[in-house]
Amino acid sequence: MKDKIGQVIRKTYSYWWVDGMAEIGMGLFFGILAGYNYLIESLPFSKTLGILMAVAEPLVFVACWFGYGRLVKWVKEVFTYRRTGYVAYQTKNRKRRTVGAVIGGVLGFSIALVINYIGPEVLKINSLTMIGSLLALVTLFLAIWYGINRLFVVAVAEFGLGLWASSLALDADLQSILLMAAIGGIWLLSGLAAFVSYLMKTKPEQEDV
Amino acid sequence: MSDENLRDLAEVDRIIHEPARLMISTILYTVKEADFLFLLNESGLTKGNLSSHLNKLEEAGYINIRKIFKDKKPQTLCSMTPKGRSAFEEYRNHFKKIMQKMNGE
Repeated sequence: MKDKIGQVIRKTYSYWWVDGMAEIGMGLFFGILAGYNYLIESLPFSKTLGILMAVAEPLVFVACWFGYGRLVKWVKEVFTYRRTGYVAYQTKNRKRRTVGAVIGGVLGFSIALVINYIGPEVLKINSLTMIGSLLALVTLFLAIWYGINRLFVVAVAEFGLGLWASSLALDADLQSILLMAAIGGIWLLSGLAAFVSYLMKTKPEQEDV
Repeated sequence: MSDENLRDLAEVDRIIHEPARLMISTILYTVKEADFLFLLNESGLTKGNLSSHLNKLEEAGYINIRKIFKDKKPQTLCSMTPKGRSAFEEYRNHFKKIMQKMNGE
């Protein structure tokens, strides 16, 4: 009984992934970051502008996040809610948000430590391989927790892309940008496939008056 | 199963214990609100059946139902009340204890 309730709870949460929009958003997010970093690296900006753009990167992160939220909301209003129903998830209270922020900070610091120090210095593993592996682990966790099989493929692809990017005979910054773009592409492809499949399997429904 | 376990079973909240209503309650406990269409798809019940179970939960004061029109189309929004939340949590804890007792036998 306890497991059944747990299954229903997980299935309810997994509705967020039903239309592929979460993946499309992730793909766009990685793609924009890759594009932005490519701009910083490749275009002949003045040193001041280059520094300004690098400093403004967190703002791009935040703008992408809000843009993603609005895009998802719009698509869900237009397609998903009309086909398989509307759901609004619980918003976190201040205490839970604070705990989440602290956990996120600790996790982010640990990941940065693993990617920049433990991986290359202690384990002698290339940082891009580490990034690919860590992203693959996170994706694997999501695949298992939400029960979304296509994310297993994304996880394997992320791991493979990490290895591929680290093997390229390119400048380290360009390697990172390529990895970001490729991972964004994989998420985007997965999301688009899910979105097309969702549109084909469902049709707009309406409640009886 | 001992008499004590049978007594414990008899004490579970029957409004929630019914399988379809347990599923609806679990969904509504997880979310802030959901509409009729979502509950219909997730539960696999017929419209009539779902309506009937929602009404029972509403009569018990466990859920709120409000009907709105969005883009000139009707939409029924359901959410769990604080009373429903505590009843669901109590049900889960109660049932967990029963299962633990039974497995301990």
